[in-house]
Amino acid sequence: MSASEVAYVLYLSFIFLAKGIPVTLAVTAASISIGFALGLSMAVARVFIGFPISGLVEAYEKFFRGVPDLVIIFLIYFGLPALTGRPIAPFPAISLALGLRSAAYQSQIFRGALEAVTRDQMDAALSVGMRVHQAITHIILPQALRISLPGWASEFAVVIKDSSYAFLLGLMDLMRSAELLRASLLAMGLIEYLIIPYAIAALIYFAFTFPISRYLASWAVRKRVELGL
Amino acid sequence: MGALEPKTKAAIIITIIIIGAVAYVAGYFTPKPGPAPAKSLYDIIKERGYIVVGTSADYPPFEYINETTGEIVGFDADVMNYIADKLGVSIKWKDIAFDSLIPTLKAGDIDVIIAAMELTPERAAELGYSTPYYTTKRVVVVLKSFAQAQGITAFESFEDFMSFFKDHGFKIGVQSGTTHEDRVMGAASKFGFPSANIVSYPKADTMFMDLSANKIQAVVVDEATAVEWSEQYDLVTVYKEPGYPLVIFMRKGEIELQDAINAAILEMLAKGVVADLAAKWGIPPP
Repeated sequence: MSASEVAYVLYLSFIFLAKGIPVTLAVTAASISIGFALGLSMAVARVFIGFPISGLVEAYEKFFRGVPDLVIIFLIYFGLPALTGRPIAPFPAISLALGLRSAAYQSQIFRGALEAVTRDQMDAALSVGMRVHQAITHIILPQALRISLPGWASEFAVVIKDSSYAFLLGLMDLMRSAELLRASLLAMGLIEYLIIPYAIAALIYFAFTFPISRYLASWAVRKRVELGL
Repeated sequence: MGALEPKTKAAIIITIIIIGAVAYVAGYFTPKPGPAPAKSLYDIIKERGYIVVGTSADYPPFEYINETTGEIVGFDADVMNYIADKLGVSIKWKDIAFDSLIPTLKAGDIDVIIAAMELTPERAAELGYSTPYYTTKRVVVVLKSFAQAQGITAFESFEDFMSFFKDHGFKIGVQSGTTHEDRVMGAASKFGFPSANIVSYPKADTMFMDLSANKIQAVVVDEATAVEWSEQYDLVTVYKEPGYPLVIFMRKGEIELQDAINAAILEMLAKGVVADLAAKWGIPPP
């Protein structure tokens, strides 16, 4: 093990892993967006519409919270084509799978937040002549979204980490690029360094998730206190 | 919370349906499904000027990424380059995790697979395949020091090896998901070899590390891998048997493409190109 070898391996790590970062971020963005849109709609539907939607939403949440991520991914990637007869590409498959899973958790987070905004506020809004949908969009949701932010931030960090499943479908994400670098190191006979690609990948994942859980969540809590929520 | 007006309720339900539909449609941003049956894949490949080749570039020296050029190189890559040359087309490589290669081929995202993939009966039943371009050998390797201590030079048969290990309570390492794992598991169930003494590893490097640390006493791998790791550890081969042949896989019924690839492979074998490539990449001769 020499200093120049270590430097070379580190240099290669950044070359290889830099290619994976955009894919990891794209999978995360797509998944969290699907999860947000679906999760928020389900939470609103569950709280404000009630029967029979609330039952359906609850069943959905129970299912997707109770099934391992990997099983959901394989169900969609291998199962959907069998059902529809049309193949599904890896990127939409992984985004849809992680998005559907995240929706179940985000729905819970938003439901909690919606219920935390007191019933009095709805009554007050109605009594000044607002329609129910106006009360929801102008009074309830702005507060509920702020309340939900700390929980939502940690869910965001979970989705970043889960995006590493993308390598299983052959997407060139952070994990897959670490894997390929290992193979190259092996071919070069640099066997002492095989742990480095994974170590750097771990650091990069951490660099993404730490600020979110540390700063976004605590900022949101501070903001809540300021607003008296 | 207050009950909703029917209109609002309808609006919310419609929104949910639309979001659901969008998510559903998002699943359909897929590449075009397989070729129209009227035109053969061979004609399509010739027309567009390139063949889409799937591989899993994490298996040196068969396929891996060259650290300076970023290109996929290796024994398989050279074999495929020769074939593409003969077809008169260029190659568009797609790197895909090994376990996803066959589903991706079936989905029509790639034209062929070359990934040191063995022709097993299961694969032969569901896919089209070329004539073999290389045959790996399955070997049992142990540390030289271990062989000397136990007085082993070579085993007569795989069964001999298994029963010797059973009698002494030694452990065997295999890579998970390989045909070697199937071989060891199959023999073990026949013999009553304790399954706790078979250790499956996701990666070859940790397996050889454990071998050198004497946590396991033998490793069952393909010969090329054993040769690769002999540079690092003091290994000795105590048993060897033919493995499955390596072939190029395609979808079933692509007869023209199959014929063209077979012709190129037979030419390579006849001209000794495969032997030269094997020497170049440091794997045993075919």
